[in-house]
Order: sequence, then C-alpha cells, then structure tokens
Amino acid sequence: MDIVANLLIGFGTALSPANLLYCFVGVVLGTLIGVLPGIGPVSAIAMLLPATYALPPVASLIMLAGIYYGAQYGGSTTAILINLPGESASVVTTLDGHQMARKGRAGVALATAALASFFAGTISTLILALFAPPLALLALKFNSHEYFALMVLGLVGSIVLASGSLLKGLGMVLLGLLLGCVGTDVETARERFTFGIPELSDGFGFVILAMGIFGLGEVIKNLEDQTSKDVVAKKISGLMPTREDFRRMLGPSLRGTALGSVLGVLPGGGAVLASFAAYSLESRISRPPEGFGNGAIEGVAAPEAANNAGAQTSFIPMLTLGIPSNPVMALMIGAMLIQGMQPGPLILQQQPGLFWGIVASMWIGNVMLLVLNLPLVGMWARMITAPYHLLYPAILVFSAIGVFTIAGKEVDVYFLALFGVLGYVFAKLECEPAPLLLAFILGPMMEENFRRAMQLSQGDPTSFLTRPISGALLAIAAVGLLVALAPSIRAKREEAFDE
Amino acid sequence: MKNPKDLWAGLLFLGFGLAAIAISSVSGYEVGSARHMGPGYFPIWLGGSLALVGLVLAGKSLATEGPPLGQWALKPLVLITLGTLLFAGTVNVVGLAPAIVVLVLLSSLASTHFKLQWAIPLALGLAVASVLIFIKGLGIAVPAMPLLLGY
Repeated sequence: MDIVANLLIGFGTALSPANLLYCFVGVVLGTLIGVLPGIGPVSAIAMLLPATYALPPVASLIMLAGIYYGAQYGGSTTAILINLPGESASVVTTLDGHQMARKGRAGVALATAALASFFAGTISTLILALFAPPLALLALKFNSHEYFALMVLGLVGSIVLASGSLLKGLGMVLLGLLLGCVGTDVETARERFTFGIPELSDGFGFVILAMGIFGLGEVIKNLEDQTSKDVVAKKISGLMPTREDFRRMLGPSLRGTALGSVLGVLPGGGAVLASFAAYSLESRISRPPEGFGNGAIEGVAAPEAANNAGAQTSFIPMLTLGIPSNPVMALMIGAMLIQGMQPGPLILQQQPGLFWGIVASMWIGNVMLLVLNLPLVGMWARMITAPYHLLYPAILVFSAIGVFTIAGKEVDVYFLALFGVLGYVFAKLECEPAPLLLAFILGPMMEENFRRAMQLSQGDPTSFLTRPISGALLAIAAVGLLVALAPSIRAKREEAFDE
Repeated sequence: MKNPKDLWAGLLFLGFGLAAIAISSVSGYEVGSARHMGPGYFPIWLGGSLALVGLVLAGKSLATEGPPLGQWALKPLVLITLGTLLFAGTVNVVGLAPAIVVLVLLSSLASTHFKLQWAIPLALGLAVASVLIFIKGLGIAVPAMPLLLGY
C-alpha cells in the first residue's frame, strides 16, 4: 500500500528529535494562544512567523501547523471555563460547554472537547493522507485557465462563506486584489502604486498586512469595550466522562468530523465555519434530555470535532494546489515562500519528506495535545485570568518587533500602523477582513495566470468557459454566488450566522 | 442616516476604487489589449469594479435599516497608532529597549485599567526580555540602547 509507505516516510521525518521538539513548541504556543482571549491564530502566527525564518522548512511548517490546531484545543478551554471564546472557532462551544461547567461538569466538558478534537484530528489526518495525492495529480494537469478559474472559485467561496453582507465581501475581495497590485508588474517591470517608495517595489509584505489588520486592528477593537469579564475558574475535578457520556458523544463526534472535514477543504471554510455548521446540524438531529444550551454534551463534542477536522483538512488545498482556503493557510503559504518553496502540486513529488512529515506531525501533535491538555488543564485555566491590559502591550511589542525584523526596515513598521488603523475601520464597518487577505495573496498569481491565459487564447475570454475544467470551476463559482443571492437562502444564511 | 456602517463602507470602497483609477491614469500605466495586457489593465478594471460596488453599497444603505456605528475608540486608536509610529521612528536611533518602553507606556494609557505601578514594570520587563531574545538570542542587527549600554 502506497499510503502506508508514505506515512512511514512521514513519521520518519516527524519523529526526528528536532521536529518533535518544534511540534511540541508549536502545540504549546498554540494552546496558550487559544486559551488567551483576544489573540486569534492569524495574528499569533503572523507574530511568530519571524521566529521560524531560521528554522529548516519542515520544522517551521510543523511548528506553525501545531500553533493552528493547538489553538483549536486551547480555545475550547476558555469557552468552557469562562464563557468567552478563546478564539472564534470555539464561539459555539460556549453555549453548552459553559453550562456544563456551571453544573459542576467542567472537567467532563473539557475532556469531551479534547477527546472529540483528538478523534476528529486522527480521522481528518487520514483523509488528508488519502485525498491529497490524487488531487495533486489532477492539479498537475492545470493550466493558466484552470488556475485562474480555481482562484475565482476560491474568492467567491470566501465571500459566500464569510459572515456579513455579500456586497461588502465582494468589495473586500476587490480591495485585496488591488492591494496585491502594489509593486512591480511582473511582465513589464513597471512599478505600480509605489509612490516612489523603494520598499514598495516588492509590494506590501503579507505578514505586515495580516498583522496590522488582524493584530493591531483587533487590539484597538478589543479596547473599545472594556467592561471586565467575570472569571469562573473554579477547581476542576472529575475529568473522566461516564460510559453514558461516551455513548452520547460518539455520534456527534462522527458527524462533526465528517462535516468539518468537508467544510475545511472549501475555499473560505476552515475551523470557524465548521464549528457553527456542526452545532446547528447537531441541534436538528440530536435530542439531548436537557436540551441544547443547557449543558448538552452533544453541543460540545460536535463543534469541537468539527473545528479540529476543518483546521486539518484546510491544509489539503494549500498543500496540493497552492491555494489557501483561509487566512491561516495564506500565512502558511507566506511562510513557505519565505523558505523558498513554491506551494503546489509539485511539492508532493519533489519533497515527499516535507509533505508527509507535516501530515504525520499533525497526528503526533494531536497526541501531544491530548496528553498535555487533560492533566495540565488547571494551569491553562490560570492563564485565562491574565488581564488583557497587561497582555495587549506585549502583543503590540511583539508585532512591532516581528514586522521590523522581517527586513530590518522602519518603513515596514509605519505600514503596520497604517494597516492597524485600516483594520479597526473595517471592524467598525463590519467588513470581514478574511476575504481581503485571501484576495491579497491570490492577486498577483491571479493576474499572472489571467494574462497568460488571455495571451494563449488570443484575447478570447470565452476560452475560460469552453475548457472543461476551468468551465466547470467557474460554473460552480457562479452557482455558489447565485445560491447565496437567492432570497430564501439568504435569509437562512443570515440566520445561520446569527445563531 | 439609517445604515451608517454600509454607507461608510460603500464610500470607502468608492474612494479606493476611484483613487486606483486616478493613480493609474495619472501615472500612465498602459492598459494594452485583451491579448497583450499592460500594467494598467488589471488595476483599472479592479478600481472600476470596486467603485461600482461601493456606489451600490452606499446607494442601498440609504434605503435599508442598520445598526448604528457606535462610539469610536479614539483614545486607543490614537495612542496605539502613535506608539507604533514612534517605535518605528526611534528604534534605530535610540535603540530597541527605549523604543519598547515608549510603545508600552503609550499603549498602556489606552486602557481604562491603566496604573503607572503596573505599566512601568511591564515596559521594563518587555524591553529586557526583547533585548535578550531578539538581540542576544536571535542576533538581530539593531542597537539595544547605545546611550547606556554602548551597543
């Protein structure tokens, strides 16, 4: 069996002492970030990115991946103990998880979250191992037309699946594409929108944009409302779920894993959407005796399984097509580019050790998280009580140093401040920044492929529709957009995001 | 104003779109043809589409109801932006440690929980930690505090 041989290569890479260490550092940092409310995985990864420049490529990706799925574990701890999502993928876990904690079942809720996450992590790692190779083979047949169509689909997906108004999503995508135009035009070497600033001839740095909009913007937004939160970090006892609990969490975990795996692959999907969808699906299927919202174990298991599964499978399009499905994956692509690797279908053939090493390390990381989280949960619970007014100056310091160390240029930090203001304005106007970030990273690739495709087809735009794969991808994008625009679905969509 | 969030978002998009078109035309980015696109082709199309989206969004906002904009967090916005800008302006001149102290003290002022006896140790702690991690540990080429430390 191919997959066994491949996984053996992967475990060979991932089990080296250095890589185990980086995986461990990654999941610990991820858990910490997930636990602390107010720092999301995007700004955290952006902040820690400079620290990975010196690492070998495999190690840096293993560590960054660990931060991402570690944050899913940590986020649930905060959600359950203090009714605040540690990060956005655990928003729904607050509903039933915190109720369980109030009924004295905090330990069981935490264990359920960890076990469901681990279960989902194991299955979705297998899915990644099974589906990535055929997808990469298919992607090798792709030409400029298909790549352009795929990116259009990705951006449409990010608009449809993002919360808020479709029109605003579209505007954010267009703005992101425009920001991506800043810099030197690849074909004509003509500088665009650089205003004579030499540092802009390579365009805005992705990390700067991400850290400004997500990091600084988030901090300013958080300082808007400074009412203190009540912390109910009681002593946690009774971690072990009963046999009845196990029986009740099995179905929801399975359904959550399935739903999360599918939604993670979709462009614009990932952990956040997966957790919401799994909770609303579960609330239609299950009939817990206490009802949802009153501490039903199903309401913890399903979204926690889904967000972890979604976090893992969102690596599939990133590693096989080079196309990010969410901002975290866009940052991963940024990290790979900095390491001199071009993410895409060739990675699997040229660097099987890297690809399978990351896959294997994900499973190892999940084991570490399970082992780490259950016994250490008391320590994480204490971390939650770290007051935000001491935390955010540290976030600012690390953001500023992180951006400064990318190239040792003050200009980059000025841009960071600029994007921080922009990020806060977006937050005030309820403009979801994720589509902008995706468009920004896809923009240059999209323009290049579009121009090449048009050259190849003698300036005939219908060639995008007549080529089978690109035609099909664009048709899916069109259907997606039309469906989202249909009034009945629109009402449902708004309802779904309100829940 | 019934839907200020949409109105301002629309105007923001409109402004960015028009600016893109204006800069492209003033700087003379060639548009080219569909077969051979010049550097101006993509930005002008994007700018035009963005302006259109902004116009529609702003127009629709006049007819729909929406939540109010709410208070702007002006103090945090100004202090954090100013702190970051000052950090950038001073880091290569006075060194990393003083630049961090300035950033931390300024940004701490934005919190309603601000207390000097908390902010000063925090600023000093972060400055020392950063010098140890980034300059001593990772070897980043930036002065720590030339005035006092000599490096």
